[in-house]
Formats: sequence, C-alpha cells, structure tokens
Amino acid sequence: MSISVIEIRGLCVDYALASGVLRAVDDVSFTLSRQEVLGIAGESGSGKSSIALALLGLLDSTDSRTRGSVDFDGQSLIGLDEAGWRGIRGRRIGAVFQSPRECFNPTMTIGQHFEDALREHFGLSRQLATTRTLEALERVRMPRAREVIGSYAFELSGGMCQRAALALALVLEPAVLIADEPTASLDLLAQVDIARLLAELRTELGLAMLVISHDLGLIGRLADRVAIMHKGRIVETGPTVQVFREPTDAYTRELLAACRPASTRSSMSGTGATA
Amino acid sequence: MLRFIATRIAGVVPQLLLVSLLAFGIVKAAPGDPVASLAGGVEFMSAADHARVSHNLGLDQPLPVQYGRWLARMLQGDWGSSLKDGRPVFEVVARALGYSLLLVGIVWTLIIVTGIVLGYLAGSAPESRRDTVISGFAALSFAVPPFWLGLMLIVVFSVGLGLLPASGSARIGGSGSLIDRAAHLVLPVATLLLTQLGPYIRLVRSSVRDTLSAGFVRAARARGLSRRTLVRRYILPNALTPFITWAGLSLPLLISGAFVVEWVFSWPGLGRLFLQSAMSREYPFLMGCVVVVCTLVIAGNLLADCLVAALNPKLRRSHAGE
Amino acid sequence: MSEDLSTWASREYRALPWVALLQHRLAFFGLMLLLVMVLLSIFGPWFGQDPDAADAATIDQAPSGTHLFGTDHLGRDLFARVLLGGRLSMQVGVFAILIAAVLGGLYGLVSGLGPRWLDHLMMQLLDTLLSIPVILFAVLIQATGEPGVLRLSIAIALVSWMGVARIVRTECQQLMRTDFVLASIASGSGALQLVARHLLPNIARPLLVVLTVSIGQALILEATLSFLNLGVPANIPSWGNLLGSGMRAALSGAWWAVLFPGLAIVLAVVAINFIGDGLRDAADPRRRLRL
Repeated sequence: MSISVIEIRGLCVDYALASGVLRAVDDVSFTLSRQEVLGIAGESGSGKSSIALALLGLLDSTDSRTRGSVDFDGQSLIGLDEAGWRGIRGRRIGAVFQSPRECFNPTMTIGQHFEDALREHFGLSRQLATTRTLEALERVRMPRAREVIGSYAFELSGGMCQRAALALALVLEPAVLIADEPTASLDLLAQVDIARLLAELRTELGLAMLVISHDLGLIGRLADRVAIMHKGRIVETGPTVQVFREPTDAYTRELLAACRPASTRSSMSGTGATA
Repeated sequence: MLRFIATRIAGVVPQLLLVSLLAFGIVKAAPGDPVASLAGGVEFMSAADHARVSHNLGLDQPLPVQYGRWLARMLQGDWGSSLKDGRPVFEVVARALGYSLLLVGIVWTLIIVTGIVLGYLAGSAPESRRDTVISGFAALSFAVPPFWLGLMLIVVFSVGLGLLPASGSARIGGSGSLIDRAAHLVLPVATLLLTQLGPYIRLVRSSVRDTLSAGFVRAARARGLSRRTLVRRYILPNALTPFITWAGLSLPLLISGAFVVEWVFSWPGLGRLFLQSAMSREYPFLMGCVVVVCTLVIAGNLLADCLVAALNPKLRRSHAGE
Repeated sequence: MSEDLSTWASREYRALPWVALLQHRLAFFGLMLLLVMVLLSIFGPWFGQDPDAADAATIDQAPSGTHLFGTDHLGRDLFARVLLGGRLSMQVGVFAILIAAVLGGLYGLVSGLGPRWLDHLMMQLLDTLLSIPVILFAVLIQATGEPGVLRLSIAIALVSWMGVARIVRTECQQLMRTDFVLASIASGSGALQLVARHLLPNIARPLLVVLTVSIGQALILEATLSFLNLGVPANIPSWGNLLGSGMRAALSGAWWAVLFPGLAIVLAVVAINFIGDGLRDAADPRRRLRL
C-alpha cells in the first residue's frame, strides 16, 4: 500500500452533451508508485485529460458524472468535500496544463500567483514568499528570475510560461505532479527544453509523475511505464521500452507507426537512453 | 497607456462636434421668426428695424458663421433664454441637472452593486434554481416599460396604501427634512432600478460563466486556492472588465429610463424639463438638455474606457514596450 | 459540387432555427403566447364588445363578468380597447423594425464593403448616435411635427437601426475575408453578387435575433411616446394611449385602467424576448443538456 501513491480502479467519466451522453473515460484502472513516472498516451479526445481532471476533482458536477475509485496515499478522493480537496490540490498533487500562458491570470503578475499559493498553503508572508519563489524559479532554470516575478504572462514566451507554471506547481512540494500535455502548445525548441527540464527534475526531486501526452517522443523520454488510451479505454500497458519495442495491441502499433517517421526520431533514441 | 488615453480623447472631439451640430440644428429648426418673437410679433416691427435687429443678432450671416458665433456663446455659458418667459437656459438646465444627477447617481450606484452581486450569484451556479430565478427576473426587467411600473407603484404605494409620496422632490410647504426628501426618492429609484437592472445582470452572469471556464481559473483551482481568493483575485477582476465598459455604454439607456421616470414622478430633473419643453416647443431648453446629456454620456464612456485601460496590464505596459 | 454544398448549407441554416425554436421550451411558450395575442388583436374586436361604445352608466367600473378589464372614464369596455390597441401597437412595432432593417442593412452594407476610411467614419457616426439616449432622440423627432402613425413608425425606426447596421457590417467584413470569396474574386466574379448569395444565409440567424428583440423594444418605445402624447394621435387607441388616458383615473383609484394595458405590453415583450433567446441559444454550440 505504501508503494503506490495513486491507485485508480474502474474509473468512468461521462459528459452530458446536447447530442447525448459521451463516455470519455471507460473503466480505467492503474497505479502510480512513488518516484515512478507513468505516461498516458493517446490521440486527442481519447479521454486522457479527463483522468487528470478527475484526479484533481475538477470535473464539473453539473454536466459530468464520475464513477469508480480514486485513492491517493490510501485515502479515497471520491466524495471528498471542498475543504478536503484544498488539502490535496496543489499541496499533494500538483499540475501543469497545456497552453501555459492561459494558466496565468492576465490581471496578476507571475509573482502574485506564487504569493497566493504560498500564503494559502503555508501561511507565508510576502517577503518569505518572494524568497521561495526565487528558489523555485531557479530550480526550473528560469533566466532572469527576479524580472519574471514582476512580469505578466503575456510578456513571457510560451516556454518561459511553462517553466513558471512548473515552478508554481513545485513550490508547494507536491508528492505527485500531473503534466497534462505540457509541451503541446509550445514551439519546437521550447518543447525540447521543457522535456529536458522535466527529465532533470524527475531525477533531482524523485517526484512521482503522471505525464499525459499525445507525443510519444515525450512519453518515451520520461516514462518508466506507459498506458495507451483509445476511445476512453486503456488498450495496452507495460514498461515503456517493452510497449514501444513490442506492441501487442493493433492500435498501439498504429500509433507508433504514425509517430516514428515524423519529428520524434531523436526523442526515440532518448528512449533507449532511459532504458 | 497615456497614448491610449490621448487617442481616446482625440476621438471624443468629433463626437462633441456632432452633438453641437445637432443642438445648433434644434435652435435653427425652431418655428417662427426669432427676430419678430423678440419684439412680440411681426406687426410691431418695421422692415428696417427687422433688418437691423437681424444684423445685430448675426442672423443675416451665412450658416457656418452663425454656427461659429453660436458655439462661442455656448462655450461662454450664454445659452440663450426661454422663448416664452425669458428664463435663462443655462441656469434652468443647471438646476435641473442637479436633481437628475442625484436620481441617476443613486440608481447607478445601486445598479452596479446589485448587478454584480446578482449576476455573480446567477453565473457562478449556471442552470441552478438560483440562476433560473435571477435570470427570470432579468428577463422580466427587460420587458417592463419604466413609466408603467412607475404608475403601478404609485397606484399601490401612494394611492392604495398611502405610504409614499408620488410626485416632486419634497413636500410643498414642508420643512424639506432629509427624511421627507428620501421618501420622495424611494419610488423613482425603485422604478428605475427594477426596470434597468436586467442587462447588467445578464452581462455579469455571462462574463462570470466565461471566466469560470478560463484556463487560469482551472489552474488556480488545481492549486487548491480558497474560494475567497479565487473569487476576489481571479474571477471578479477578469469578469468585471466588460462590466465597466458596459457601465459607461449603458448610460444612454439609463438616462432614457430616467427621463420617463422623472416625468411620471414629477421629479424636477432634466428629463422632466426636456419633455415639458418638447410639449411646449421650447427649443432653447431642448437644445440645452441635448448638449448636457450627450456631453455627460460621452464623458462617462471616456471615463469607463480609461478605467478599463488603467486596470488592464497589457495597455498599462504598452507605452514601455514601444 | 461547391455550389451544391453551399445551397445545402444555407438550407440547413434556414431550417435549423425553427426546429431548435420548437425544442426550446421558453421560446415555444413565447411563440404560442404571441400567437394568441396577435390573433386576439386581429379578430377580437370583431366579435367582442364595441371598443368605442361610450356609456355614461358604466363609467370607471372595476373588472367584472361583463367587463373583464373594467371600463374607462367614458364607460367604454377596456378589454375590447386593449385588444384594439394591440393591433396598432404591434403594427407600429413591426412596421418600424422593417424600416429599421432596411436602413440598417443599407448602412451596414456600405460600411462593410466600402473603403476603410468610409467604414471608419460611418462607425464613428454610429457610435455617436448610440450615445444619444433613445427617448431624447425620438422625442426630438416627434416634437418637430404633428403626431401620426407613420411619423411615429419612422421615428422609432430612426432610433432602432444601429444594431442591424453593426451586424450586417461585421458579417460583410468577415465574409470578404473568407477563402471562397477571395477565390471567387480572384477568378473574376463580382464581389457584390457573391455577397448577395452568401450574405443572407450567414446573416439570417443573428439578424433574426436582433430584429426580434428590437420589435419588443419598439413596442415599449411606442407605448412610452404615446403615453407622453408624442406618439399616436390620442383618439386612436394603442397600448400607450390607453395608459396615457388611464393615468388620471388610476390616480383616483381606478387601477385597472393602467394595469391591463401595461400587462399586455409586458406579456408581448416577454414573449418576443423569449423567442429571441430561443433563436440565440439555437446558435450556441456550447449548449449542453443536464444529466
């Protein structure tokens, strides 16, 4: 029990649309152990992101339904009240999302986001918060960290925003980091940068991570194990190297074939390095 | 930022010019002979006298010259006087403006506060019973003519129950106490508030809904921030930006409503003055009211835009980048 | 083939609002309510009591079995007069908005398709006109002449066309940027002809929403101006005139003289706004059902 931080059993997520009920996640089960990186791969619309939202209790209860069990550190997250969730979100399970720039409030500076989080979770004063923010920004190798604290998200590049978002997630010292398409909206150089940073942080901090992406290159580089999702179901799961080398499922083969000749050849060699 | 304000102010100039043209047009459209009306009728004047007076008043000049002179007089505060009893337009309009500002000011403040509160309550729980009730009220508010609600309130509270005064700004011959004045404000304020609130609620509701689904709100929730911080620092500052613009843009609507309400409750403001002047064809007063009202609206919009710009970091920083 | 596709798409566009409208509960309710009111206004005065029959014996009577809405200061049946008033009020509302649609449509077309400087100038003018309170504008128009039904309709149209102009302009500009228009212009087709063929299907829905809501506002404006004696001549019953002449009676206790004509206006405007909401929601792809 103490080994797995996250244990999901039979998770189903339904959305109510005007055209009918959509089952986005269909009977999904997996575990995430301490210090482990699990990749969830699949094309867009395969239900990957709904898993992330379910783990954070962020699915809107007015137009969606969640069933199954979600345990964090042996504690069930299903049916948790708002106060209970506040102890989990950010503090125990951190998250970074796609389109990092939109993840910052346009009327606040980057530093103010850190201030809010540190005040609410640790009760830190402004001065202490600034020190911690600088440390966190330096940990993600943010150039000109002092300047960034006083900047707005629209003044930073996409890659810098994602760095800042990562720092903001890590400053609360979570046990698990969910990275939902962390590189999808970035330009190619920034993608490589963020992927390298995630890999470095992972070895430095010994963090458990859930990397959700359609980019098999990224998954191959970071993940110890991978789960392939298709139409809401996990069709194949296993150690990344094995799944990538000898896929057993037809859809996995298709997905890998679609990826290989494209931009990810260099990252695929990165898979070999991890193995 | 300064640049933005400068361009915005430059944009106001043609607007003001257009308004002044409209006002000048009203003066010119006045029926009858302005020279003859000075002397009390054509029959009291010789042709030579008529020509001399016309020349003295500048009425024999081409229209652009007349407009220029008229504009200069307006800017000096010489707005002419009543065609019938000679009351000076500037003073009468200024006094009425005071009353209107009191009424509209109170209503505007109340509308902004209740609009934000009700709009937030509806928008933060879409499709709930709370939302249905508030949205239903907003829809009804759209559909009720202000003058009719005013009449009904008078019928119920003044004629029926005898609780509140139905007309004027204070009891005639009364002491003019604060309570008496406040009592005279209750029904006009309630009428205007209830009939104008709809669009404000709708706007806040939909922009709160949009903001709630924004990425930064989801990200902030994912960091486990308290509801209080979320609402005060993430949702409201972003949801209220369109509201500030609207608070400026909606001034004409509010004034339209206030005009009719002033009439129904005999509130001695600009609206009543304007409508009385329209019925008695007192063109100088019509002109004065148009100038004052349009200038106020334009100024209100300018203020709202500048406020939005000051609150928007993108605009605030733009001068540094260029 | 592209020809087939575009006609198919435009038919889809025209058919959809009605289907969605009938599925939208409030809009359906509004449609039915309005239909009843319109039919009553058209046919009611032929079958019910004579709206102009004065009777000294029945002056200012409260609502009863014989006089559903009571009687006015001349003893005339108010129910019949409200029905008759509805005829004129709705006529003025619809007529005014038709004129406004033409005016706004032309303004929007010129502004949307004309050169940039002209567009800029015309939008500046539009903004300035929008900053003039509607009542002030309409009263100015009405005060410079004798009241009459046609004059009133034109006055209402003159303060109501701006919304239409905005939409037509925006749609024109968006359309001119689309690939198929650019391609057709490049291949030598006339831009105007294209706009005529593609504008209408694209614009139908937003235009319908604006026009529907405008009719409601026109009803309120008609009532307001007539109430102020600046609208329809006082001898013709309209909802506004009934309220204007009922005011004195109401102030001495005859509440029914203002309650019923006002309720008629509110019901009609609510019904029209519900239809407008239905049309707007039908165009909203975010609409979701609840579990």
